[in-house]
Amino acid sequence: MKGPLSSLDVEARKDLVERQYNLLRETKDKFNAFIHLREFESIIDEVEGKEGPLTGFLIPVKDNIAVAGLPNTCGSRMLENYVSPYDAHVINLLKRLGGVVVGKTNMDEFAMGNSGETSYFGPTLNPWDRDRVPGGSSSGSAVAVAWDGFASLGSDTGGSVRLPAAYTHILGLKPTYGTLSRYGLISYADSLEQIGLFTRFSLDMAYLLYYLMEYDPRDMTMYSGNVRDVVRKNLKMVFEGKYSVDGLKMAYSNQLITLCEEPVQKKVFDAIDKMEGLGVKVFDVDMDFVEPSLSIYYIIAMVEASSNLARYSGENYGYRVDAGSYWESVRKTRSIGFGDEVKRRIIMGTYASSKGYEGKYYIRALKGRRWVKERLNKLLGLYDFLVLPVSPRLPPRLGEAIGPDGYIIDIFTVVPNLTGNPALTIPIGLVDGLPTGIQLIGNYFSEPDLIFLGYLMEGKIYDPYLSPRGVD
Amino acid sequence: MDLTTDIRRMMEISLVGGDPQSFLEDVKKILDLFDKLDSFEDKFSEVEPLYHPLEYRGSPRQDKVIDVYVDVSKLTDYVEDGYVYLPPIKGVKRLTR
Repeated sequence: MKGPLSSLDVEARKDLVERQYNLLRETKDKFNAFIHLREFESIIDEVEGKEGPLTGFLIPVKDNIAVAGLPNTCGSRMLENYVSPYDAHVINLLKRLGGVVVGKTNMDEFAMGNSGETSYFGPTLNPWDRDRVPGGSSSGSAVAVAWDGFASLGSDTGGSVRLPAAYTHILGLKPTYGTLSRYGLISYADSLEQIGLFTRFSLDMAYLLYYLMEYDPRDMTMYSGNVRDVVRKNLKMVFEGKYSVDGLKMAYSNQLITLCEEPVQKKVFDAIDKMEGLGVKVFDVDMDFVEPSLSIYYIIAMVEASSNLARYSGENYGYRVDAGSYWESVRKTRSIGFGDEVKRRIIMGTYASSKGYEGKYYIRALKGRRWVKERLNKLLGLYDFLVLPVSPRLPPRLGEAIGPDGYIIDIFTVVPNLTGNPALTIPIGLVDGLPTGIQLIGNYFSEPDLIFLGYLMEGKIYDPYLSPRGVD
Repeated sequence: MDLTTDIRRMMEISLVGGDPQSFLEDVKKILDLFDKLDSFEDKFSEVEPLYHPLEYRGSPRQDKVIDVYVDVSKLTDYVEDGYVYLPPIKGVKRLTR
């Protein structure tokens, strides 16, 4: 590996295409990272036929993002036979700029899960330890990059990019809500989710985000203000090595970090000490909004899921069971087509938004959401960014984190989804051979600052060349 | 648990092959998680609900006709006799027709 792919010229990148593809194929065979991987011959033809800033980037794409002519299963039996007839906006940009979609990656069914195990196509395995989960829901996209890859696309509804990034020792970004178009992202909980990026190097992160954040009028929740131009200009400065920030103030919560298991605590405190060594001023503050955020998040996510997934009846597309009457067919289609976790969330979301319980659950959660947003942004008025652990524990063993018992793992990741703030996972090394990470949460549209901080930490807090291939 | 039965019926879902007892245990765990908000009630009972994270107004699309037709057969490797076929899932080679 020769450093960031974006820093190489086009010919050097093309020279790496076959190697990239072979590594991705290994992740499919060894870790079940792909639901569909294209054949090499068609990929090399496409690479040769394109010139642009993203030429040479082979991008694995999470299987809830539409790519024309490729499967779009969302990891579900319900869409097992569904082929997307159109490209998501980010895919359209990627192709237009010379990039190539290499395949569709494995994921928790409809992005509901944090372990990568609820996929109808089997669990994704963690390349650092195949008995453990890689985190989810963007499990396959994370593994594809961890295995000496460069970049991939996922989606983050409650930590689905940041958690697998931490569990596989790579960078994972959830951008500010409204930065990337959600056109072509199959919705699970639309007020919470954003398309996110995985990369090994910070400069590749800045480079890809710069090119993929073009405004799209087809997503009416996309931010259309002038700040987009400022963000793009700053991202360009980051990957051209012209950006700098200093005098940064960072807030952390000693009390929250001590909720983590001990080896994780130690690593997080070490990372904070090292950040202080980089000139960042650190402050221990009260983050009382984190604990209730988990309940708030799950209520809102389940309510939105129950609405978004009501469309899967088998009538128009996807899996279908013929069972005589219309309603019986719909019932059987949904009962067999959805997995247990999806059904749990649909049922509980319907319950939480039903007339008799809406005030007790859904409306109260929405009130809590505003309170969390106000509390978080008050802190971000005083400090440039917050640092939190990504997960309170190391990657669980297979089967340990499925269902409600595993929801607690999301406790540190859900806040930015409720509030729309950007957050970046930075890996902080290994504990007994297993990766862990921290996340930086910034003000709206502060992605250039977050990514630049990631860049400053490369080689000092984490080693971007550290790879599970060395221990396989 | 009549309510969950009603809701399952409303959402047109039944627990095929699932263990009802374990489902009920999971429901209880989820309700316990929801009910944790009881202890924070005083912090946000008077706050306005927030439905969307950034409360900006999106710009509506312009009211004009645009050509949205996409010829998917030109965007995929998986075409035969003019028809797009299901690409191999999990990389398994497609069976011949």
